[in-house]
Amino acid sequence: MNRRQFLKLGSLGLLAFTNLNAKSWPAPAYKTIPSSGEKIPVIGLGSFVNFNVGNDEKILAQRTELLNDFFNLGGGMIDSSPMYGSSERNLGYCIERLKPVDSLFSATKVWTSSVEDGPSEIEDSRQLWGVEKFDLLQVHNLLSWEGHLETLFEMKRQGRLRYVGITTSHGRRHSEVEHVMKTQPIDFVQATYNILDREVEQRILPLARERKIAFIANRPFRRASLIDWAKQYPLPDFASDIDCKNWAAFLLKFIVSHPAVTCAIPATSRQDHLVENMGAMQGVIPDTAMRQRMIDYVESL
Amino acid sequence: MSEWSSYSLHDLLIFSPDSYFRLYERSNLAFWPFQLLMIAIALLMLYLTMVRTIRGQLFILAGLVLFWLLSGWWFIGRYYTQINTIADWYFWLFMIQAALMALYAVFTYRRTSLYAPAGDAVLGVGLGIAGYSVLIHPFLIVLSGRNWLGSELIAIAPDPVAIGTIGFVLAMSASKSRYLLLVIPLLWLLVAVATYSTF
Repeated sequence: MNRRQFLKLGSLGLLAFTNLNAKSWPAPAYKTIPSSGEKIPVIGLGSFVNFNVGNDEKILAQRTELLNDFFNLGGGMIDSSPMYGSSERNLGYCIERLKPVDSLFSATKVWTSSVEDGPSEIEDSRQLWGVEKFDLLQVHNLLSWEGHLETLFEMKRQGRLRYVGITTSHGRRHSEVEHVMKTQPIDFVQATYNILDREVEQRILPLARERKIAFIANRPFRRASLIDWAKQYPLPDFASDIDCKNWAAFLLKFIVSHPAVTCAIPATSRQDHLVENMGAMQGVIPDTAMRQRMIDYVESL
Repeated sequence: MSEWSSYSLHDLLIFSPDSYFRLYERSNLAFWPFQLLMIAIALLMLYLTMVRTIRGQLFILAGLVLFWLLSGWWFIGRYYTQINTIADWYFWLFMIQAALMALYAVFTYRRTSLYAPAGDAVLGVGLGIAGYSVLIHPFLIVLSGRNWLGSELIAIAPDPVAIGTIGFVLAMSASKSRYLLLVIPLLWLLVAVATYSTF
């Protein structure tokens, strides 16, 4: 652990939890990418909508502060896509102003039906982000996945990419996702998982463990509708038992406490919400019985 | 097909209401003070609508051509395309509407004998809609809680241009052929309603 990591963990109060009882993980803020053994923070940042703000310098200054807070609070993965309008360009704008950013785990997607156009789209994305190479490239919504995966595996072989993945969302095409997971040597799979959308628990998450594939949970708040709905109700009394002071931490802790989940990527444009989200990296991690209590409570609302 | 039908409009929208409303603030600030000229032109168009002459109709059509070109080029082309990847299509929709109205103006100028002034009832309805787009719509938007700098003024903002076009075109003559000029404005209002329904 270097000095920067030590300071980050200290600022999150994580050091205090490294000696807690069996309910806590030894290092609750991080999980391991099975294919490499590399550890990444369990809470990342999505960029759908919140970074698609055009060339608005006033808003971009605020987003730069948001990213700065994200990294200072221990964040790592930022996920985007060419589909998200100006998001990739704006992430690059903000990251350029924060460099050097050692902890950035850059994740984006290839999103074109033409396999031939994939490499040029990826290069455009790389230049927009301003990174030497991406940590993770994913085939967006399985679009032309056979051809794009060939491109991505070749890039990885050449050392121009660290990890390869696929994505889906909203519970779509899970059987095809399973097929890719079974037949292709991918490092990551991304799909929707939250306390109400748990279909991936049946087959995809067990398969991810079996095949040593990291899992990224998207739509942790169903965009914002799930958390907006939940906030109408009080947190359960037992929330304090798992160190959850707000709904964001409660909902995210449920997701990242699943053994097969590597990372969740909530999107936000507000710094107060970011702090709440990053709170899910602190304190006690729910065990299986507690996770069931969390489901029961939310489903009773 | 079944996969696309499982998406809601909300899922497909890739920008937030705040980002959308900020576009109006930024475009208004950059356009200032030419809004004053545009409002003066729109007020003159309202006056000419009441006068009901062929020359007045030509001026109204010229004003509408200007408004569609301006809102298409300035707001949609320069700002909306920054956050909405399909706004390029909207830009061309606005250019087509401008061209249609220019052609209609040329056609009616050459056949002035076919001009017939609108009846009182149609004039009243059209004038009411046009008056709303120029004088009321910008203030309603502000009353809804948005920053007044983002007021949606006719000539720059697409929605009042589309609404105003429906009003002006209805009121400017009794010719049925003018209904052709209402297709794209109505289509745009459907787009606008669909967008707002996701906010």
